[in-house]
Amino acid sequence: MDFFSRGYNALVGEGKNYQQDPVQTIQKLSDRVYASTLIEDKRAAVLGLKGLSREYKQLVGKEAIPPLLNVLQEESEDPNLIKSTLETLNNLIAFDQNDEPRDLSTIHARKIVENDSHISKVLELIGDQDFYIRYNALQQLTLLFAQLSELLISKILVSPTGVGRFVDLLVDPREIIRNECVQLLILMTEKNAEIQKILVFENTFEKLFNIITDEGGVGGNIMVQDCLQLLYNLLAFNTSNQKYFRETSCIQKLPELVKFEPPQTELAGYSPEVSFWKEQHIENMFVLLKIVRMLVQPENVDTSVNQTIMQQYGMISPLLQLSLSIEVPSTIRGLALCSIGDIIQSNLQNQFLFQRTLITAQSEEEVEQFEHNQIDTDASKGLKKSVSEPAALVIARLAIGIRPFEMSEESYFVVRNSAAYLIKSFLKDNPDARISVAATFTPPPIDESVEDAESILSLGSLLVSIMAMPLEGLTQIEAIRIWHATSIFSLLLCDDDVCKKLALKTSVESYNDSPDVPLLVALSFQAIQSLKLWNVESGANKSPVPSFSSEGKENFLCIQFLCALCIWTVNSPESVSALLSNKEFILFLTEIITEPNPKKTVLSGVAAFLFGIIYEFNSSSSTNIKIDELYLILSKRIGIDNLLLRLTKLNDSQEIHNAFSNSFDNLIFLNNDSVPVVFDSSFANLLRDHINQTKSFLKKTPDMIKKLHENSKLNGTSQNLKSQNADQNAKNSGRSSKGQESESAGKETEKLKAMNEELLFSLDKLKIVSTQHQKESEELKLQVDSINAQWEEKFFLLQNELQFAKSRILELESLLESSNERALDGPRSDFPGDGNSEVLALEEKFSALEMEHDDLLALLADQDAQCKEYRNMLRQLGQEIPPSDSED
Amino acid sequence: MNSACDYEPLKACLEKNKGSRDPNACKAEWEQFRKLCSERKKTLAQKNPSAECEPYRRFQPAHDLTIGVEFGAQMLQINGKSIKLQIWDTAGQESFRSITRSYYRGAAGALLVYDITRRDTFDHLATWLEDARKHSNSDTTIILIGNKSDLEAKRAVAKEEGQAFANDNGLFFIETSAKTADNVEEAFLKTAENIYEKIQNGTINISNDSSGIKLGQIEPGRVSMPEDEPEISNSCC
Repeated sequence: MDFFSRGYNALVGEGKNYQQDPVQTIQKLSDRVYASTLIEDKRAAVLGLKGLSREYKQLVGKEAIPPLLNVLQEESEDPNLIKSTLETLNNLIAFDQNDEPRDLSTIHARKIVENDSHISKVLELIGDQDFYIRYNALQQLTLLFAQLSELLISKILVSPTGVGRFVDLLVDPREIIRNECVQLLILMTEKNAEIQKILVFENTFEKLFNIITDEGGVGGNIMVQDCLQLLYNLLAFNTSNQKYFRETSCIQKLPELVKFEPPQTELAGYSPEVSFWKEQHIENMFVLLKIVRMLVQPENVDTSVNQTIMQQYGMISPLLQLSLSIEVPSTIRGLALCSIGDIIQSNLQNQFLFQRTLITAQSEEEVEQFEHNQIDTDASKGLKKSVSEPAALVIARLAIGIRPFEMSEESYFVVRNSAAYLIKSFLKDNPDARISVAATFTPPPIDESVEDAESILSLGSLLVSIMAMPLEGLTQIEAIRIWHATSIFSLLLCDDDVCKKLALKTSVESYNDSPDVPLLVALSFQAIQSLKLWNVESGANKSPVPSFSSEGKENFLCIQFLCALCIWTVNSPESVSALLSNKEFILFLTEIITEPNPKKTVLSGVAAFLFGIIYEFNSSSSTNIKIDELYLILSKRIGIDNLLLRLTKLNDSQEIHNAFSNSFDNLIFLNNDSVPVVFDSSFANLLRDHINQTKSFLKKTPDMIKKLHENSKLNGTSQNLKSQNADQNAKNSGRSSKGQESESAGKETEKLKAMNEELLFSLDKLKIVSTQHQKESEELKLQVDSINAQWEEKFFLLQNELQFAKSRILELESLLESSNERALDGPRSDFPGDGNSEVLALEEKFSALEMEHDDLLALLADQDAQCKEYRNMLRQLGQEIPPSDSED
Repeated sequence: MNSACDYEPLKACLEKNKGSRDPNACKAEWEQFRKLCSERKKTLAQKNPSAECEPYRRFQPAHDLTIGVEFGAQMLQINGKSIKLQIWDTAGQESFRSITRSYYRGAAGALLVYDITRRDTFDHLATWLEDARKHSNSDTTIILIGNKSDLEAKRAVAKEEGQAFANDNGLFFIETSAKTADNVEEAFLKTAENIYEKIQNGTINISNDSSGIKLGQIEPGRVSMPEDEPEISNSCC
């Protein structure tokens, strides 16, 4: 206040009585905020504006926003100044009833958000250490978001660290800041996937779980609800975040949270009617279970992975606990049941585990499993305690059994619906479970006590007994259990010939005082009965007690019976003939169809559809009413066109459309005096698939149909034969393929053998070749040796020859010498007689030799001459050659 | 860290690698920049990683563009420790750039991917790198990846150029093919190993929330159902 008056006085100044013009004042203050150099002056001016900002919102907004934004950009030193600036701006953008014009605060907000750097500045400020700055900055963002959510988010996304700063606030020890931040994040994550992802990137999941744990989990305050809501926003419709949630082991944290039991305070008495659950507990658990269901919503790609993880980490057990505890509020029980349904739906493994789950009723000692089923212990006092029963049966009893005395059927309604949803989830896409339930249609012999009987029954016989229970005296809401039983029963029979056969063999022990009525017939009587009750009441006119159906409303129970009969009899001539054994029934159908009440299009449509199915499949030889009779009824009493019209109307009805939308959420909602008609998806699918065929059959005469049937019988038998053939063939081919297999195996062995032989053979060959080679090489060696030997021989020979030649030369030389000597001595020596001739020969030789010698000399002289000549030539050519002897 | 080895440093990061062969997709895609962040990863030592899918092995010839940011996870083994990578695949288109900037803070590593058959993607690397450097921690490991190495015939950026760019900027470099899965695992391993090293030698302080690293821990309170695998013994720390 001190600041305020100082600032104000600074302007108002001297004349205290002088009333200043607000326009001028605000202008002056704005100028000061801009221009002052002293921080005190600025502060005073801002405070002045703040004081005026409520009263003169429009004027201040017009003049002061730019200078105020400027202050934030430029003054980072003075926390007080920043704080008051933020507060002033917040005043300008806060919506007020008296705003004139109405969108004044939005106009201001737009001015602020559109400033280029302001939002990133505010994001910086929420990281400021000062509490008031942080708080006011956060508040400003909240206010801006309320006015201009999308624009603000686009500005926040531009700041790379902007979103991360919010996450930092989640660990702020000051709860006001933290909570404010969670609030803002909840708003921001409602639609924007980018914000959702960045928050997750910044580790928001972990921080939220920390807060939730710190606050005491589901038992905590509204903060837990807010955190769970933020968690929900981050995950819903964001598969990337769901993946992150799973990969960072967050799913594993959920079972711990679901395991919640409210603290038992001494205030609440001991009566089970007084619940320890507080309103906030319910809210927290509600959001938590919404998250669980979202992660396993049907049809999602990741659902089966998530289902498995939840199962593995023990999610089912605490959920069952919630579902079965009578002190848990109905909404939570219902949600828990639906959650289990979603976790096991279409997941064979989980369905199987559910089937094996046993529930032990509470007893004095601690029983390990899921504790109690108070309903049972209350409803059936005779039941021995601590008997273990299959969970499926216990849940089915929730859906169609007797309600606990202390609860009204109205408040139990949600539990019934959800339990039925769980049972259907269990049976859906699970043929084994269906057959095992159908196998128990016929109950084992039991004693007479009806109430006790119910708790001992198996699931199948429980269904049968509920469907066939007497209708008199039931209120509409009480009849819902019959409705559920019939709905589950329809699901069992849908497209399942085995179950249909089992159901055909089933009979009701006592129905309307007659023993052993076949179930199918009993159902047809139930349909008649349910409608009669209604007729009586409308005939009795304005019964003050709203019962089955009031005037003009559809009879939901009768419709459900007829739907079940449609599903049962389609494609099943035996069932049709069994149904027609109740002659009353066809008249009943005719009555409904011809009833001229235009409001009951659904009932008459379903009846028309059933009539069409009966007409189409009434081909069994044992049928009670021949097709010609039916044709008479069709053509004379109903009128073919009338019937077709009813069918078309049904097909176009809103109820059928609804059946194709979300299968649970519109299952049934209760209003005061009537239950709306809701179709199971099994019936709706049947109608869609089959209606055209039914219509075309209705246009045919009995003769044509008979022919068709004959044909189809023929076809059937031929098809049977064919299929038998095919079977045989398959078997044969199986055999032959086995034969083929062994044959081919044989062939292969043979091949291998042959190959082996070949290999052996070629091995031998190779061996032979190699020995051959060896031999050859040996031969070659021999050859080489012999060649060597030859060569040596030759060598010796030549040497010998050479020596011989040498010795001959020596001989000749010596001979020559001696003859020379002789020739020299010749004249003087005496030659004996023959010596003359010898001498003559020698003389001749000698003369020959002399001639040779002369020749040689001549040659030598020539040679010399030539040499000389060459020498001269060389000398002339410049070669120096020493003079030779001969030249001297 | 030895005996209490149920707690292992975990790390992670990366980015999913993908290639887009669809010409339209190529046109629209400015650049494949992928960043990976290892963030807060958690690994359970000994937890069987085989159950994890391998996001980067799933190559689809006509890949749809990344819109904004998509999350993926991947288990790796380094020195016998299981490490779970959190991979944030960020869109490479310019229009998403302001959003993808928010994913640098707290990332332990980044994979910067270009397409070797498109020169423009290489030319834009500098701007992306600048973004990454500006908004991430100084010790964030960045690896440069030339993708589509199977399309040698259409190559527009030489391997040496990529290597040179990496050297100049102090990045790891590797060429990969998302189509044939060639080197893809190596790229992630290399990144993770480098981060692991930084943790071991203390460069990265794992107790800092913004390091992007988180120790693995064993979840307490598991309820074991009949079919469940044996409970992992809970180690205290």
